[in-house]
Amino acid sequence: MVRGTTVATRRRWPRWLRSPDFVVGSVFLMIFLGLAVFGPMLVPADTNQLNVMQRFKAPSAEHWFGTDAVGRDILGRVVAGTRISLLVVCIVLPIAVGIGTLLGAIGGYFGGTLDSFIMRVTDVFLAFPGFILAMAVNAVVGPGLTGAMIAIAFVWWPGYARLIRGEVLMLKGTTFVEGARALGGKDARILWRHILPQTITPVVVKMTLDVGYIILTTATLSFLGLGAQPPTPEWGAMVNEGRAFIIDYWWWSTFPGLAITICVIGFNILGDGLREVLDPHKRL
Amino acid sequence: MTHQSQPRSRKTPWGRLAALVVIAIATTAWAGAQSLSDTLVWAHSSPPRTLDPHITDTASVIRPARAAYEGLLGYAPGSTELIPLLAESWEVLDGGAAYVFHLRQGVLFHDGTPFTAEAVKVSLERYDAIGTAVLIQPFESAEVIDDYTVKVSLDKPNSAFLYMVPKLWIVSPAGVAEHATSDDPWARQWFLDHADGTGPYQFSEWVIDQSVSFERFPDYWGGFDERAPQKVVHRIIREPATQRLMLERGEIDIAMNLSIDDVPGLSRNPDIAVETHETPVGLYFRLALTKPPLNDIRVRQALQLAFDQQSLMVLREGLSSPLTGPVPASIPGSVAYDRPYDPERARQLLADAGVLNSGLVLTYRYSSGFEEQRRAGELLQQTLAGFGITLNLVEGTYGSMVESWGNESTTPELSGFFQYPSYPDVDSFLFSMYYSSVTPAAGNPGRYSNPEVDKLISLAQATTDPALRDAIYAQAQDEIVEDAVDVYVSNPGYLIAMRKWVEGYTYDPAFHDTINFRQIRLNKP
Repeated sequence: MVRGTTVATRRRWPRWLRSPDFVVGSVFLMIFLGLAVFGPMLVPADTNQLNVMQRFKAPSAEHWFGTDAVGRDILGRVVAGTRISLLVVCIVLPIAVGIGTLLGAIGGYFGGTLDSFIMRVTDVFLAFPGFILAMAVNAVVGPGLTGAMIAIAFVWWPGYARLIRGEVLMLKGTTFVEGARALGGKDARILWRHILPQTITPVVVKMTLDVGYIILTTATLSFLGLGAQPPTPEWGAMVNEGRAFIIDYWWWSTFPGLAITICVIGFNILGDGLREVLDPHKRL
Repeated sequence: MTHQSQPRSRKTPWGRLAALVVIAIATTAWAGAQSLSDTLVWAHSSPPRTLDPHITDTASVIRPARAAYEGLLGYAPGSTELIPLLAESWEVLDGGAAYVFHLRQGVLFHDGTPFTAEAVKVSLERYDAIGTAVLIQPFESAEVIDDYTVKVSLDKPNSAFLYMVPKLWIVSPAGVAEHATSDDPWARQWFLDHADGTGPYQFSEWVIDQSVSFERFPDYWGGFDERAPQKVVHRIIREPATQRLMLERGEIDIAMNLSIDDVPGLSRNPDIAVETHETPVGLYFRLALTKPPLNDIRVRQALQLAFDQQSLMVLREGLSSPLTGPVPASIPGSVAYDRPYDPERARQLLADAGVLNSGLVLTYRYSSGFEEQRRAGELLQQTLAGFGITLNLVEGTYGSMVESWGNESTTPELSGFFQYPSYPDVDSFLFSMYYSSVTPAAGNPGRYSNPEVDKLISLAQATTDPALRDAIYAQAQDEIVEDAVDVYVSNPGYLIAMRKWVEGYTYDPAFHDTINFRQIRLNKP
């Protein structure tokens, strides 16, 4: 792709702009963030308002995405759902990354029995199908968005623990860490100031990819009736509500379904792009 | 097929998406064959958990069991009028405390043994030992007078007993004896997944979560019309949309879980008939009467006034009717009350009770798959939100809801509740829902206990004069309404869709959501 361009043109463009994945992904990110922040101002204020005389209106100029069985505007609910999905990500991801980083770093840095213990626990989590575990946790905590968030955070941290441990293990033996230790740096300081900053790249890439998967998991839990409860305009819950009517009133499930699809693909592309931009081996 | 090798370094999700689209299209395009011309295939979403009709009166079990079993009496097709079936005639003795049945001769069980009075005795005793408490409650003994005469005695007179008789299914005593073990004297294990009755169809195969099949019993006492199905097959199809597609393609003959919103689309298909019927079913919000703040009658009255029944009727597109009291209007002896939607009075009552805008959070549990329960909850949720009260809608299986009733603390403030009458009588509502000795799980989740109501119900059960009986039940209904026990939501209608080549279907109010296989004829090409 870049082979034909000259050195001069390559220099003129910032590195991140030369990854089409990154550019496309960023556009998606901007759109979704924009919808989450400003969307509620563009659509009717109360997207849960029932309007029994307006049920099952097909997409039209008045209702771009049509209306559902109780006359709610689907466009409004899809837009409102953006904020809910991103909110879940903003809560779940920091918790999962936090727990994963802490355990992974401790395990990787100190090693020994502690490391074995942490990694065996992680293995147990990873050995179990994540989604099934999330369903079980959600069912125990109780149906609802809070329950779904707890469940997802609960199954999401082991991936980060493994990733961080691997990175820490690799960095532990490098000369700059040994140098810091020789200068009398305390373990906590070495970890925090010297090792962890070096792990940011893979973590950020994984986080970006996970945004899509967390949205998908939330939607799946809600689809199964475990996550968001009515009338919350959560995408998965909406797909579920409309499912029984998909033959005659296809718009009810289709538009929230498309929102999930586009969102997940968007963040996936962004993640791939970010990897291209940040990965030193792939520098363009 | 050839695979073009792809560079593996750049994995984008596009490939995965394309694969998904291909799979989705392939699945939709798959066209199954039409069912065989002599087979009736009917689809319902909920599978039976047993084929033993003595264990439970649940419709999912009775639906298939109705093919293989019969009672002493039946209901005339489409009505609640009693007709002879395995008994040719009957007498009422001792003011309703004993009944003599004269049995039909020449009837065989599926195992080949003849049907006699002994079979009635064994069946009723089996019911009494392992069965549905509500149905057989006053049973004392069954006495064989001769081979074809049997006398059934009750603990006390019960004027509703005869209406329960069509649901007291007769099983083969030889079958019970053959499969009984010392741990299992009633052969529960064998009857779980086998059937041995006198019905027109005998059990042939059960593929768990897929289908239950029955085939003609050649020695059936009633004989067969040549257009009667050779086989009846219950397909378990969970998704209503799938049932819809299969019905349109002719893969199934009857779809039992379609909704009123399918009707406009279905009406474009000239080969499909949709029938709607009034039902004897009531839909209620059962209230947790003993739990604050619902122990305050003003809060309960406010909930009644805050529920917008008319909007629900609009959402149901005319399929359902309003429920005007504890008993639906189609049941003889029911009393209609004025149930206005009056948010202003509701607001006042909530203010008086001190819960207006108090941030009160209530829980409404409802069962998955019942759209009307959900819609009703959404309507109430909206009105209550205007009063600063949050109503959480929690969906779950019926089983998990029943479990939550076991403990007062876990009982939701409101529970979505269908009352399918076990027998088409006022008693089936008032006794099963409001008698104080009925456990929460059996139908009294609110733990309602009013000695006056108990007294009236017992009195009415012992009364055989119909007019007097109705008057006593009317008084009981007044008491129950006075106590604001439940919110009356609706009298749901019933919808069933079938290929036009199915003939003879009748909606039997006493056997809600089941099929009378004996009546069905097929005109399939």
